[in-house]
Formats: sequence, C-alpha cells, structure tokens
Amino acid sequence: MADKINDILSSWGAGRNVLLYGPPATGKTRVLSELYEALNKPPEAQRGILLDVADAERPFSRPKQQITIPQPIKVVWTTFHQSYGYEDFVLGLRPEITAEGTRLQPWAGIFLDAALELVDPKSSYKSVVIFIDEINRGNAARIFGEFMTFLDFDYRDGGRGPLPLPLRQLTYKNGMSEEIRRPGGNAVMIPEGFTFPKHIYIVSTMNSVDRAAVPIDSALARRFDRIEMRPNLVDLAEYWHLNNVTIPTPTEENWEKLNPFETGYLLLDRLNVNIASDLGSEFELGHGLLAQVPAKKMTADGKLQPVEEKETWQRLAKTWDDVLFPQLEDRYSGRPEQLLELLRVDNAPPTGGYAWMLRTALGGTFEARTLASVRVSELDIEVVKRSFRWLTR
Amino acid sequence: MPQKLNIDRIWWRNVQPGEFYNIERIHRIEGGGGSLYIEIPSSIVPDTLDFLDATGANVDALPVITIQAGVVGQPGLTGPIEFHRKAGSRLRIARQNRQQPNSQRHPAWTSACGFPSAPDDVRNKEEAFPYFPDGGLRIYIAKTVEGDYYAGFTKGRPPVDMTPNHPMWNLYPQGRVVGGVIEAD
Repeated sequence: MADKINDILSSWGAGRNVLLYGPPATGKTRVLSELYEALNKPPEAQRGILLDVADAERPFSRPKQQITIPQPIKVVWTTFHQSYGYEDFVLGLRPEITAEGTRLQPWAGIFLDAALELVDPKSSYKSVVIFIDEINRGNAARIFGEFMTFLDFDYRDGGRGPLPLPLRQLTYKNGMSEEIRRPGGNAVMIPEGFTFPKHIYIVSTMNSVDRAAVPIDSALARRFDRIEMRPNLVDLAEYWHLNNVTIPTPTEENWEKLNPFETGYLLLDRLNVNIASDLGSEFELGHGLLAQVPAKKMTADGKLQPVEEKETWQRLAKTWDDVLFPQLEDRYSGRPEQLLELLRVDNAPPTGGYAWMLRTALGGTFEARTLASVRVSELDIEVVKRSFRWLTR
Repeated sequence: MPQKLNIDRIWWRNVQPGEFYNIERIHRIEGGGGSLYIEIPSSIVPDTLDFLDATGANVDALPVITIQAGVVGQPGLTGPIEFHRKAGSRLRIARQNRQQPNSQRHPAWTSACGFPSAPDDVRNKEEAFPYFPDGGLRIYIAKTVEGDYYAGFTKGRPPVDMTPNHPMWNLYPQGRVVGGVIEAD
C-alpha cells in the first residue's frame, strides 16, 4: 500500500489528479483510507534512516513520509452514485422563500466549496483533497460539467493559462457575484474573473468490472494519472502468514497434501490466470475476496490463536459459495462451457466425490451441459478438501 | 529534543555464542587458542570495505583501518574500532576480548552500556551460553551521511510492535545470517 500512496503523492506533486482502478477487492478503498490517515498524520517513509544517539533502545527510525502538497490539508470524502449531480459537486440553486417571494439561492457543491475554502481569508487550510469513491457509478461528465476544465492544473491560478470560472448561473453586481452559500453555513461572494485555486487535489477509485457502472469518458480520463490496482497474492500470503516463496507448485504427487491456505492461495492464482486468459485481466478476482478466511481468531479471553484446519476449510467453502462463485458466475455469464472447463467438471479427480458436476434429469436419462447447483459448504469436508485442492491444478 | 542524524548505512554482524565466549573469557587459556577478535567473513568483506570507504581495496594487502565511533545511548562518548586484514581474504575487528591486556573493546559493546557479559572465569562456550541472550546478539556500526560512525548492539528478539519497514528490523535477523549492510535508500 505504501508504494501506492507514494505514487499518489508523486502525481499530486506533479500537478496531476489520480484515478485508482481495478477489480473489486483489490484494495482501492483501503488505499484511500490509508491516504486519508497519512494526510492527517504522516506515516513513516519507506526510505531514509534517522539516528537518535541518546536512545539506546530504539535509536533508529524512518523519517516521516513527505507530503508533497501544502499543509494543513482539508480532506473531503464523497461517493458518486446514480443520483449524484452537478448540483452536489459544483453549484446548485435551491429555492429560498422570503417575504419578498421565492428566489433561487446558489449553494456551493464539494468542488466549488474547496475553491472557496482556499480563498477564504479566515481559513487556515493551504490545500484541499477530495476523495471520490466509485467515480464511474455516477455520470462523471455531467457531475463535473464545465468544471472538468479545472481538473487540469494548467487552467488554474498559477497555471500556464488560468481561466476565469464560467459560472453563468450567478448574477454579478459591481464586479462581485451574489452570495454563494457554503455547506458550513457561511456565505461568500466571488469576484468576476475569479480563477480556480491551484491546490485542490482529487483521488478517485473506479471499478473496472462492474457492469452497472459506466466507463468514464476519455476527456475526463486523460485528466487523471491512472494507478492500476491488481489482485496481489503477496498481500494474501502476508494475511495468511504464508511464505509465498515456499508454497508448493501443485503436482500429481502433492496436491492432496495442500493445506487450506496454500489451497486458497493457489486457487485464486489459477482462477485469475484463467479469467485473464478468457476475459481479460481487468476481470480478475481481488485478493480481498478471501479476507473472510482468517488465519487467526480471537478467543474468549481476548487472545489470538490459529484457526483450526477444519474450520478454515469450512470458511473457504462458505466464501466460495457466498463470494467467489457468484463473482465467477457473473464474469462467465453467457460462457457456460468456459465455466465448466474452469471448474474441471469433465476432468474430476479419479477417485472420491467432487463438488462440481453436470446437471442430470431426475430420470437419469438426460445429462445437460450445464452445471449442477451445489453449495460446497454443505458437502462432506473430505469432498470440500478434494475439490478445492483439485481446482488448484 | 536533540536533532536526529541522517544515516547513510548500518554495518552489522551477528555475534555467535562461540564468539561471545571468546571476547569474554580470560585471554590466555590452556591449550592455546581461539580468537580474541570478531571475524568478518569473506562474504561481507566487499560491503565492509565499501562501508569503510575502501571500496575495491586488496584485502590481502590492506593496512589497518581505524575508525572513531560514537556510542549509541551515550552521547559524547567515543572509542576506536580497528579493522585488520586476516588470511583468506577476511577481516577482523581486533582486540575485542575484554580481558586481554591491550583490549580495545569499543565502549558501546561493554557491560556499562548493557552489552551482555559472562563471568571473568568462564571456561568454555557452554558455560558462557547462559549469559548469551536468548534470541541472539548483534553488533552494529552506523555511518552518517557526513561520514561519522556510531556503534551499538541489539540483543534478543525484535520488539513485538516493530514492523518490517523499521530500519532496525534486519538487526533482529531470523535464521543463520552472518551480517551485512543496511542501506538507508
């Protein structure tokens, strides 16, 4: 995660916004969360060593992570969704009933409010960071509107060609706008020709798989540095306390001896190799999907102890039923033969029961080329073990 | 709070129980020998020479290199550390037996600074072993970006809250690691 945070800070330092994209459960939102903490309390850097000669116990330390944007930093978090609009992000007009009648009162959305924050003489903030989770769940082009231009640092104050804010919704008098209400309750006016402040930075996440989301258009996309988030087996190995160097390659001789964590690790790897080959790497399964299979659990007296092997197999089976298989079904929708191949239905283990079979009519006279419905977690534990181990190969 | 120093590299050496015995025991023992120094095996000699600003030097013709090193935990205190050549393209940190007449044990590696110690009359490695820290013993020398040296040691296992990103993580090695150099960048 630390390298991703370094990448984001580096992009901001170069005057670029950042888009984290990848399949679900690859740690995108976690990066945002860690970045959020880092901005409030800079963590240790990955490089550099400092020595405190007076400290005999722990004399060495890392310097603090260098934050590349001016501080203090105001951090704002938002999530785009289908009802999210320009009015929420840039500028909305809300009816206000007064004794004189009804008028439309301008209210700043998150992006414009960030600009107003930095020009507010009473504010101590020097930068504003906007976290946008799920940027492609809303209609981003509509949400940003003409403010898409100001995603580009060149057109902001101090840039190569600063442009005035094109807010035609506002009325101006004597060179100043009408009052704009801010979410905190303040009201401000901006001068005609107001330019967008430089130090507003955006980091957003985008799911590369979800069919319910819309792809962001190229005009928006090119205004972001893209950081790809991939399924990470090293993270999974760390989570399960596995040494990923010593995980065996499954062979004819050893596949029946794999423990549940080795099996889960190899299973995710094999599924993702197949998915990348069949559908493309952007459809791979995130390592976070297996986070529901813990290596340790808390005892009643508050101590951590390893989860028993049988329980781990059961949790793996439950995670398969509730999380992994629905994801596979979704990805292989309309490709039943490829799913059958992935699950090795025609190539089951030579002996013993196996979880995935073809569906057969009750009369036994007709076998369809379709998968029989199964809840792996309800099968005998030996079948569970054999099935997942077999699937690693 | 005093200003922290920027470190360029940390040289370190895993001290084995046998070496611990040799630098603690009476220097003259019946039947001869044993070393009164800490050996630097050939595997880490190139990194050590680099650390001492003698990169690529012919170790078999190397003159004595003496550095003056401060003491971690005792600001203001310093002492010399001598690196001598040794047969087989090795090096040694000379005169580290604390009981030999011309002992030059660095002050950072003495019991006054918390360095483990065995009784003066300890007779063999087995007798010294109870005084050897569970989890091991390492000596280190840190070099600042300005070229100043500071010596210290670690003993036992890593603190439970120490993470792999911590610069001292490698000063608590797992398994049989002889030593090496930790780079700041």
